[in-house]
Amino acid sequence: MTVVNQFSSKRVLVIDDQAGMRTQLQMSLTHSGFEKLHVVASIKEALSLMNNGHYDIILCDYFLGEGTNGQQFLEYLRNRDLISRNTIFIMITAESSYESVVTAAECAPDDYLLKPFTAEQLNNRLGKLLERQSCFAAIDKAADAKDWERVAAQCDEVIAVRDKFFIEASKIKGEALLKSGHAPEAAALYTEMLALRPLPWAKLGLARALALNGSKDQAAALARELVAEHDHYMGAYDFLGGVLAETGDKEAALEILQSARQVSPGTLNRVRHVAELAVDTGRHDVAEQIMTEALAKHKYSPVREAQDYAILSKAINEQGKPEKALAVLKEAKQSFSDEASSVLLTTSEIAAHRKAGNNELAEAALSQALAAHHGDLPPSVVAAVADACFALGKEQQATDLLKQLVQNNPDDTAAQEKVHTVLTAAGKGEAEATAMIAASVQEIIQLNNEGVRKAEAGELNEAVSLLCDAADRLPNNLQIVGNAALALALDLARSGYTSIKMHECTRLRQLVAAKSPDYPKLAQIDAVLKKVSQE
Amino acid sequence: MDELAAAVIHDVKNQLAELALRLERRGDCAGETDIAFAAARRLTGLLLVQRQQAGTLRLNVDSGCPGDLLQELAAEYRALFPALDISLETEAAPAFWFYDAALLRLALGNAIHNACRHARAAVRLRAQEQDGQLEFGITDDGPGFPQEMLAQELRAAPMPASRHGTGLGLYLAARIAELHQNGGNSGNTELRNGQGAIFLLRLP
Repeated sequence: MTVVNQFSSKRVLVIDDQAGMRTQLQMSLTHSGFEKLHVVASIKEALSLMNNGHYDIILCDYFLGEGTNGQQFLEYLRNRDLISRNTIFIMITAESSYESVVTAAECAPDDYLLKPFTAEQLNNRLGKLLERQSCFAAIDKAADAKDWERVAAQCDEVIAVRDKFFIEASKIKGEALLKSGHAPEAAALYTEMLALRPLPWAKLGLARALALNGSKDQAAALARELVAEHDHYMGAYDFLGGVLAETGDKEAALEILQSARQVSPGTLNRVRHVAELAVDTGRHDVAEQIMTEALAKHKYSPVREAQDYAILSKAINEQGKPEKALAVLKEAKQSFSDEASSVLLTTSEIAAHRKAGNNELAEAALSQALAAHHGDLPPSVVAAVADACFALGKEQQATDLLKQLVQNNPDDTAAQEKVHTVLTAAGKGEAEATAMIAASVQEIIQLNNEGVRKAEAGELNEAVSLLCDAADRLPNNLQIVGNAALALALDLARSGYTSIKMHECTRLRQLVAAKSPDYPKLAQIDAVLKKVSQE
Repeated sequence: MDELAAAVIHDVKNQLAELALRLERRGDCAGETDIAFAAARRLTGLLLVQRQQAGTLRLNVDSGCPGDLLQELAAEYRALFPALDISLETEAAPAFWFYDAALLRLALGNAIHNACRHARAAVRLRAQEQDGQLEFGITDDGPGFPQEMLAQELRAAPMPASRHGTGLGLYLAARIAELHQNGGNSGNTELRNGQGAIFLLRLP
């Protein structure tokens, strides 16, 4: 017997490795009126279902057998934006794991269900969560679009009512203010929260606001205080480790994150961070040990990345074991076949071949890595290839790659920092590195302006050739790609339709639309294209 | 309590929970299901007391809505005790307060369970803000708490077994309340007798 109610239309996904629990949840949920229900045993099955459609509610057991747990799964989903903020994620835990779940990090589920629970309890809880879901729908939608200004504005509407959602709306607004760079406003909000109650997340928020405002030492001091008061609040360790690393004290950062691992081994994200710090500070043995352990634990899990194996191979190679490093990379290549991963793993082989004295193999691997289309690769991978170029004395290719990297990621300060790191590691001075980055930025701005000027002056052939050429190299630079599409559209409108030009124009337009559906130039391109097809 | 005992309790608790789930699935033995669930929850309480005594029971305080919490508990116990009139009084409750929702749910759930077992016909759940504190009140129309329980003040250890059980739940509720602190004040619990038994839990 089923009832038609508020639950009927909601799409629900249940993930539990225990058959008994799956049956119970399925029965309870069906009885409560849920009709669109999928029940799976593993995160692999869950991910493949999630590829095919959105879920309103995900119920996930914390323990999913050996390896990856529910918290790591949630972190994986959130880090890759695989679920909407509006999707209700409920973690089912036993009382013994409840604590490690609630203190995990900023990546918290929407609610916890402590086992054992009755159908009645589940039903009630879902009712409350759906009420929250509808109250926060507009906020969550803005968050999905990463429109932080709008998130903050929408939160203000909920905050003004000062009802039971007051604190949660304030918390989300704080996040939005931090993400949109409004450090003083965020600090004021968190200070106000702390006056109500000294909640750990508000204190961490204040520390983050201070760091964002440049007061990194003050932020670190506050985070240290927080770690001392709440030694199980993992987000505080992660933040403190990060801020210490940024201020150049990588040893202290490593120490903090290692002590965090004593409290809770944490997710692969923390392991990654610790391993990278350990490599940076010359503690290759530590990096090897923790990464080997973590990867063994997650052997068949989708939360692994090629980068994990790259770090591990580096740590092993630096200890003078190139054969073992190569074996790690070979194993990784079996799991990761996409272009970015392949290039990264091939690039990682270079150092091992060199350590083993096989310079020919090193050269061959570099040629392979250089053959890829670097415009489509993530900044970290391109930076690794450039680093390898420097190591093999190919300075020109290295600097060309880094220039392309900067120009292809115009608003990405993290990418610029990577470039800076590679340049200084290759022996360039701080000032020289900064100047090279600035020159690359300047060059692409000038090129763009020149293209636009030519188009406006009616020299469309020159504009098209200049901008399309740049768009090919820099498919991630939306300004260049958008202007290239616009120049092509203007050319089509003036000189008449040709299928080659139209095809290229549509391709470039799609490139922009796929990355940023609300990109303002799209409307302009469409308006011009409309004239073409009408003629 | 040593680790072996704790591990066994944990296992038995899980077995009871599994038994409860299987009974629930059969759908024709609500009474037995409740017994198994209640037994599993008592062991959960015992494990929490053990952690509290070892000093490893930590709070995770965030904002919660007291009215919603009581409403949830009321629905749950109405299903368990369909013959009782379980009413809510939350008009004077604050819209939000700060507490560890999971632990508080256990503490209040246990007190409500006690009240339901001893009530004649009615149990009243109340939440209100008073003197800067949040006060939960659970009142039944039964015979009231025995004198020795009122005298104990829930301070020391769980009291010896009586017809009210071992007192483990009330003991745990008191400790959970005390763990809640704010600006130098801590929470507390109080037992009183009026028309029936009155359980009060206050949070700063």
